[in-house]
Amino acid sequence: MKNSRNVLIIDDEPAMTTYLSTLLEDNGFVAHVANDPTEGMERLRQMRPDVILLDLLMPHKSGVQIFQKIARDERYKGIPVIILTGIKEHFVENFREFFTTLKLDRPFAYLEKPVDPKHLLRVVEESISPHCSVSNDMFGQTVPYSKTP
Amino acid sequence: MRWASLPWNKPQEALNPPAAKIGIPDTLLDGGARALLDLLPCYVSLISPAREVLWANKALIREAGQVTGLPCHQIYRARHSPCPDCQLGVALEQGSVSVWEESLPGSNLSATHTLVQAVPLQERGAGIQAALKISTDLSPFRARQRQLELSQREYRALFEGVPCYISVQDREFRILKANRLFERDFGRSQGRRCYEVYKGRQQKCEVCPVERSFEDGQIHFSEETVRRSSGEPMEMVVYTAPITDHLGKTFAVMEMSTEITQVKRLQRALASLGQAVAITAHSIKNILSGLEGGAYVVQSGLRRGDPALAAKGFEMVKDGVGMAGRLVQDILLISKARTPNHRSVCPQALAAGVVSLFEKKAADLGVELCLLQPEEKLDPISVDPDAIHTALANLVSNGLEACASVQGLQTGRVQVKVLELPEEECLAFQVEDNGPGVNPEVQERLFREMVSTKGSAGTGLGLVVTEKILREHGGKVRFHCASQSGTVFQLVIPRRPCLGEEDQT
Repeated sequence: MKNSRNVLIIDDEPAMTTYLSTLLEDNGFVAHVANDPTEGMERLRQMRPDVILLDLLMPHKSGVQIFQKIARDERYKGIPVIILTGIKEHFVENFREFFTTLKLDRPFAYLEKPVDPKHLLRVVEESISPHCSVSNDMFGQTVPYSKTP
Repeated sequence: MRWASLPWNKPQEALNPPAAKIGIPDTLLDGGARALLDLLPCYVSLISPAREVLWANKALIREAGQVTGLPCHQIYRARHSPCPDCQLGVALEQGSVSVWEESLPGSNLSATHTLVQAVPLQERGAGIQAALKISTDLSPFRARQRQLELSQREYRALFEGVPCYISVQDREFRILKANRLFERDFGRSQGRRCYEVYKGRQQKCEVCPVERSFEDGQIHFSEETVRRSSGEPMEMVVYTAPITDHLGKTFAVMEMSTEITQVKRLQRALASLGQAVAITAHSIKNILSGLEGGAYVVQSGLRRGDPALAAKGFEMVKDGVGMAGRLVQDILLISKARTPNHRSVCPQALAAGVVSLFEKKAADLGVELCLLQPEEKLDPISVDPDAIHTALANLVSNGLEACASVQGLQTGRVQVKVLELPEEECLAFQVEDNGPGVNPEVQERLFREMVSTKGSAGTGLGLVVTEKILREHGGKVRFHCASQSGTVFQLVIPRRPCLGEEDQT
């Protein structure tokens, strides 16, 4: 879809995906929903979203594993990933060095559930802006984000 | 006794006139001996068989004046007649040395209590002519002895009376002494090892404050869980202090323990309450967020003229309201102690009721739910049917959701069984699923804390409620998880006499 802004939502909670997709669609995005990690990877093979909203706590394959897979795959290079989770402290404590150690790009942003709709929309907008995007990363640092040309 | 024969003490005429001059033979007590006795810091007198004083040393004369010729009982005890308990007879009549203690009431002497030694004196070839009475003042010693006895009584009273357990132990952890409270709660313990008495162990504890006090001579502290002789567990705070000898060497350690069972219980309750409040707040936040999301979707559906979307939003709102209701119900259930309203019920009927309640949910989730129970009718059981229904429903609901969460699971299966456990005199409702199991870290906290593996969909209260219900029935929840291949929960309820008719509801 020309000029459409595609968002892939990977989350196992139907209520959450319904809400997020409705919210994004109401604000001019095209939402694609995957209810589990496998479906999410399948969707990625079929389409190239402008941004991925990824739930961290899902059965069997955690969001971190999915993130690792996406970040390591050249095909998905440059797709910003926004992580959604309700376990901010735990996540920050355990994964502070995770991305550095594995030499992975960090997620574009981290949003704590329940998400504030305005904040979510602003972060999604920023992540797909063609200009130099700036966002607060999960560790409280402001980092520049450059899209792959 | 020939004092005169001592070469180093020749009599001096001026100071010590010859014995003959004072009426005693010099051969009995010569001047040298008298000079020596004059130097002694005790009363010395020479007493005749008629109990008259023949001679007194300076210490006695200084306090009693010239006493020569006066009766012994008059000088020492201010008596007009001989003492009925006179002990001089042993020396004067039997010729033996005798020792006794003598109080000196009413005399002019400063000493009030003396240690007396009476030595018979006799000339060679003659009979006993006199007794040498040496009285040492014991008054200061008696005062100190009384003080010491008083201190000992006070320490004993303190040792026995303090409201904590005190024991004194040697290097082998043998109890040398224990106070009354200790022996009341831990039985006769003298000679037994501390670890046997306190913990029923055969070896010393890995970390022992008594051992550390022996090692470094310092006070140490620890918290221990011990058992009374009745078997009842109790939590203690233990202090150990070294007991040293005059060289500062530790020869024993005193262990003082105070029971803190109630304090620890309160501490755990407060910690649990704090955690419960935090998790409840988090659950409410999730519910509100779900309601907010649902309301937004309803609004968006109406705006777009999309009734299907509005209906989805409405379902989200309904789910949120349902979750809020369950949360409130669970909080009420765990927040106060309840006495089960016992009724006699058929266990099979109770299980069947719960299973039928979940048939639709199981079908929606694509999980097979079945009830396996003996064909013959089991004896009714006395339980609070509503409470056990809630407990069993929690387990069935958990099992279904656990199976539904497994991706690619061929067939999710939840089996409910009713088992008679005759050896334990119990009945068990068993819920077995082939879901993903529970990881060991969560297993440890399962019944103690609010644990949820359902993300925002669970409150984490279900198992806490279940465990509380079973505890109130005198039963327990058993749990088995075979390495990530499903879980088995059992609600074990003791069989107790059923009163009244079987409840058909």
